[in-house]
Amino acid sequence: MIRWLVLVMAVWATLGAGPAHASGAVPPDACVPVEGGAELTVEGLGRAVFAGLSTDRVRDEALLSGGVCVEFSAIGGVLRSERLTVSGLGDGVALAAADVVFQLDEWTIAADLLEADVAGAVLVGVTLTSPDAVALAEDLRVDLVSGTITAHALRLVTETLWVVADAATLDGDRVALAVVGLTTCDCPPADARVRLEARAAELDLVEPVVTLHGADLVVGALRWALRDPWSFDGENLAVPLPPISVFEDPEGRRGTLVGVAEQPVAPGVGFAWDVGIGDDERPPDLSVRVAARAGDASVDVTGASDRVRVAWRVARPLAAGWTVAYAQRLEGGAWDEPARDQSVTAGWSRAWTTPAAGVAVVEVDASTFTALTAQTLAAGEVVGTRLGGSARVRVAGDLAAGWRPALEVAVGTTAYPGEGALQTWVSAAPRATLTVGGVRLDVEHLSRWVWGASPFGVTVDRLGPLHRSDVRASVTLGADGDGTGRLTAVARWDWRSDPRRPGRAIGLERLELSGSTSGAAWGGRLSVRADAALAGAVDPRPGRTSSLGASVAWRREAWEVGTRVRLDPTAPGWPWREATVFAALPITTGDWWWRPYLAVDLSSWTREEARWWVGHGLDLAWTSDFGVLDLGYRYDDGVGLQLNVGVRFESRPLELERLNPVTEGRP
Amino acid sequence: MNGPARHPRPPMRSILVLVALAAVATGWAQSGIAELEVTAYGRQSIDLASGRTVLEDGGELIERGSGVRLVAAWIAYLEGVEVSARDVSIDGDLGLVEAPLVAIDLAAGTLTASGGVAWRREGLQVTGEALWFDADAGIVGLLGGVEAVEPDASAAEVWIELAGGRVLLVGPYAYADGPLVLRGPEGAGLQLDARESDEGVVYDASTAVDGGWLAAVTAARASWEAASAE
Repeated sequence: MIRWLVLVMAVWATLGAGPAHASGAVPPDACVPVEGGAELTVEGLGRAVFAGLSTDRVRDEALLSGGVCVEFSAIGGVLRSERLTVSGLGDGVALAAADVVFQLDEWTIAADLLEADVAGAVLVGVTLTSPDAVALAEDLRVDLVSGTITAHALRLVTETLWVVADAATLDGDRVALAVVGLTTCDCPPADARVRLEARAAELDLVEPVVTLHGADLVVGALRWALRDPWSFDGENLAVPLPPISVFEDPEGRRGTLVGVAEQPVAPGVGFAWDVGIGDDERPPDLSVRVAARAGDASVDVTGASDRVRVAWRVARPLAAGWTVAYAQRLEGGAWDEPARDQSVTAGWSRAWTTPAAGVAVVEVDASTFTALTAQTLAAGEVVGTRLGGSARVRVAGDLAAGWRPALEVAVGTTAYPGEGALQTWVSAAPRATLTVGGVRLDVEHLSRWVWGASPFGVTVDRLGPLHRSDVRASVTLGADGDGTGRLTAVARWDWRSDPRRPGRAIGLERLELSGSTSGAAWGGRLSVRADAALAGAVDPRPGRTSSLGASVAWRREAWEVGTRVRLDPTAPGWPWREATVFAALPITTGDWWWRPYLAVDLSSWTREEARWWVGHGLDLAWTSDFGVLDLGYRYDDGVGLQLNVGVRFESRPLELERLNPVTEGRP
Repeated sequence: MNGPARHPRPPMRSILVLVALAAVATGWAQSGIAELEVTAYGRQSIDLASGRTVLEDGGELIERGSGVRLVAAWIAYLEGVEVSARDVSIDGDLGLVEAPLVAIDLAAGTLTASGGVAWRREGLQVTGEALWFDADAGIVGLLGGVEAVEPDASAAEVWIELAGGRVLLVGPYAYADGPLVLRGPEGAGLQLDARESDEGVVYDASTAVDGGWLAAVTAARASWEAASAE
């Protein structure tokens, strides 16, 4: 009797020896002993409980019956069946059971039939369920040599995906698929108008993220090869959009910048571009910038109606922190006074970072260089050598909860032997952040002292003194509740002398207060915001204004209405700068969903150049079999352009019925 | 229960030994006391009225047919009726059985060993509170905290049917073989049935106990309880 028990447990032990599942934890739904039943344990391997046991040596088999439950403590799996037959008690022991349920990690695997021997375990007619997916498979095999669990002819659905694969390997929440078809349509990929086909794929069910290898996008009869590998979020597909931002160039002009941050296009090669568009406060202007980087070489080209700028740099790292580089910058060209500079530089740099005593981080870096530089300025051409060095030390601490001071000190000097000049600078920047609950205070000061001057321009290395202090305080209220609020104050003081007001410092550069709150109201959410820019009122100077602004917006699902006003109390005459009402109203027509947006400035009639439409936009959503396609833009004066392109995948219930009727696995 | 791994041996050997013991005991009981060869170590008294002989300083009884030898510190026997002995060791082909008290009812054909029974022979070391043998029923029982060091097993009771070769382990029982432990709860039964095969005697196991066999065990147990109460 004992002999077959040993053989049975040997098979169970081997079943449980798979390294892929060596969690070592017995699942919470552990086997409960059957009333009056027996229990078989194997030290270090697991145990089995059952109500009945009988052996038949003539037929060379044994039968465990009545709530048979086997725990594999080594892999954390539990097998349940009403009857488990053990045959081959002499040699070639094998297990067989019908209607088994095997729980392993997040998976519950129900099978019509289980057959196992020392080489492997096969489950036939398999249904797999987890919190994130349900699946059917013709068979599932536990390879007792490699420890892998492989399913064949797998059909799997998540909330958003329908997947078929010739083979799949399960490893917890991750599924590796081979010869896979995939769609976001709630239908088999073979029937989907839009689908993905791939040589292999990895599916993370929790994230959920899909990574495809050797993948094609198939739309009807058309087929596109995708880059290898290609990954996407299983819940939505964010189409890479150019990041939109409002920039402020050194001359103080404002505009809208549309661009794409550097994107890898090949190993070691990045590419970026942006387009700048001037706004009302500057003449119509269009500039285009293209930048690319490959390894240690980079090029940056900017073209505009009045200038062109080309900057490129090639560097070659040498041993021990040394680098040799050549850089050139050309600006102006045919459109403007030429300005260009180029340098050949040999430099050494090194950086150290040392965590100190667990409360502070010390960063040190140092560099030295020698360069031959030529620069063409409006005043003439400067050519000469430069010899310089610099060092920087930054100490940042985390002294107590919420109290984080930092100090950065830098020093540098550059000699210009040909010009007999020397430029030396020292900078110090103490910073501190204090966070207590919802209150955060940031204080920062920057001072830079400069002795001497560079014969070159600022685009090469000329420095000027800086002495400014910044304070930012914010209070967040009710962050966890239904109603939230935030108060913010920002101030900057420039300690340098004001060239336009002899004997006085530049003084208060910024003083801004803002507050916002939002909460549930009228079945939606009401947001209120107010802000004030007071630097111009406290310290009036030409060219600087003050403003008071407020906005109220109410949003309920896709509905949005509101108003915003802005006035300059210090301006002579009519103080209103803006009195805008805006609304976005959704319209649904079949599978199409529209939401036009319009903002009208009612105060514009008082101005000489009336400009009613200060904001416009349109959001469009098309519900298809494979998801919801979103297209949209919104433009607001003073805010800029926002674009929205993406695909949302419809979430569907995890039901086995979705997998029927059974179709062939490969589209 | 979980001792170090031992040299492998036929797993049912211990059961076979039990059966062998019972078979020997059967022959001994059925041969009758007249076949006994009695040796007194010292004083010997005979109650002329009852015919009861007492070996007060102990002695030994040898069953001539089987060669089984009973040695005790105190023996009383009444020819054809009963044998009582204290601090007993029984030695023979069956191995060595030691018990503080042994009572043989020659009329009823029963043997009771009590006070803590130890039984040793090659491949077998087992102890229990009592041993019961009913020659007419053909049943041997080991009762009360049956613990076997060799093999590593335990049971509340072990019953052996001599003729049919059936064995019943009454729970809580446990059998350990290296890292393997089979357990049954209190009152649960595990029936072992002997079968002849090309490999010799093999046993089928079942947690379902035959009704007739269970009734026989129940009756034997009642007889043991009655005999123990006397």
